[in-house]
Amino acid sequence: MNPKHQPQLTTDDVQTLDNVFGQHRLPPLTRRALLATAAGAAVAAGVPGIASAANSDSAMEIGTAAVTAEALAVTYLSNLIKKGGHAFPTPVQNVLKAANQAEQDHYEALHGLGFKPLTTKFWIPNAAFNPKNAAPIIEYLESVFVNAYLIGTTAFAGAGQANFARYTVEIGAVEAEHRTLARALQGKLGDNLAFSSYTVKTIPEIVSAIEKLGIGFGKRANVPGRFFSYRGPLPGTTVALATDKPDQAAA
Amino acid sequence: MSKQNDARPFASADDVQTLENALADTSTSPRSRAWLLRRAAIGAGVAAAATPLGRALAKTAADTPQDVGTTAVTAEALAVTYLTELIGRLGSKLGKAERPLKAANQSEQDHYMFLKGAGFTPLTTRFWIPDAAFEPTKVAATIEVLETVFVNAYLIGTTVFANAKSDTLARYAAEICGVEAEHRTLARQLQGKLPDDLAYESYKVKTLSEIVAELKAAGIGFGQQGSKPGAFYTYNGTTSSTVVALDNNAPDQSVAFPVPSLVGVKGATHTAKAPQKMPRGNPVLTG
Repeated sequence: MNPKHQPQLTTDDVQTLDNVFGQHRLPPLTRRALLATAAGAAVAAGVPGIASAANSDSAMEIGTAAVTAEALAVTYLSNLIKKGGHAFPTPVQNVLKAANQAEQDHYEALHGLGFKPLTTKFWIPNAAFNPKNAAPIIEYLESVFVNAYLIGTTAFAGAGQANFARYTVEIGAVEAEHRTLARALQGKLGDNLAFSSYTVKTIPEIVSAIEKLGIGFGKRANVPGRFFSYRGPLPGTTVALATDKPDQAAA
Repeated sequence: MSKQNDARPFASADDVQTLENALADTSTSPRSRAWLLRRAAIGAGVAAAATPLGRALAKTAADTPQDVGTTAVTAEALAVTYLTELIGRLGSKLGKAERPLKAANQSEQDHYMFLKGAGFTPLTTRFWIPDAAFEPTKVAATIEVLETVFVNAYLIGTTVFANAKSDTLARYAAEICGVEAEHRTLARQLQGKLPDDLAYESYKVKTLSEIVAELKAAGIGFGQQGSKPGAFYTYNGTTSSTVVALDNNAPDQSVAFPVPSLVGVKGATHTAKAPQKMPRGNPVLTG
């Protein structure tokens, strides 16, 4: 996404966001690390006020988890398409490339809002790159991502932050689309739910769910694999989409 | 909005929490507990908008939580009416689309039942639907249009509920919105289009009146004749032959994350299926 397209927080937005999220109970992360993250992000994003507003672990925790998850998604999808993309029919390759572009657009919007991933180095299991495993793994990850954004919606809505709440739905529903396509790819009923599933209620549970897949956030996991670093989408691993930022009107 | 909602003794958010705490200390079944909490949360959410602050917040978004509920339950009734008639008419002629359409019909009915159970009443249950919407070659495109509008509507709903700080209702809207987006992407897939063509769901219109206008522009009439040749259809729920069972049917129901069985991983219980070709073209038969 072009930086000029990135949604910007005003100082008031950030302060309000932070104040209200201070009331949202989530297990704390290292305060020093979060403050450093926020300060760094403020410089990178050029958003005045975010560093001074970073006095709430919960606000940062949600955004940080989201941008980290998006970095993981881009890292995985880019390498999957690069390594095994040829194993898929062209329409499937395009679906994967579209998903990769979407995750990158999410990453850039979140990063532009001042959130910075806790790590850009991921341990990914070797088995995840077997083309036969791709659809089940994507279904699992997208199910977790949908749940994560429902947590975000809940938190932002509770804070009265309507725009941010809507952004989480705009992203979460796209993750749901990826989920249903991954199911269809396995021959499952794609639209098997009447309501997107809200299985876990906290960000640490989201992280735990991802780690159960054998993914490590900056550390080795207990399954054969190797480290991959986020470098944005690899060349040839994306396609153009009809929207690339929140609140756009697709034709 | 119906007087039924206006007259309800609303619970506050604190009341909901108290209720949840109390229920947790009792032997109430999880299903009953969930139902009670959903009802209480809806009452609290609508009550928030009934306060001066709530009205002010709702005003900034143009629509109120009650507007959202009424519009949503009407739209869900329309969806069920259309899909039930469509599946009943075309049945197996729908080909690969039959099962996903039956699933979609069940989910729209679940949305309707939930909203109705929460006290919202559709503005009408009689809809003018264009004849073209039942032409096999136009079914997927019709559904894509409708689902795109529904996604937009629930984004408005989330916004309205969030303005009222009704976090539970905002999440319910999100849970439904995600499913409508899934229908949208499957409808695109059925047409041979790139199904996941968006990074963010489209937020084209910002008010519920515009949502209704979008549907009317598609030729649909709400209790009155629409702008295109068609006929009236009345909501009568679903029939057993027009739905399939789903994995959940109410908000906040937990469906376990689908732990994958992987190829080439020690301990995998069975082999994952090889990737299949994405359906291309329009699988709806033209016969």
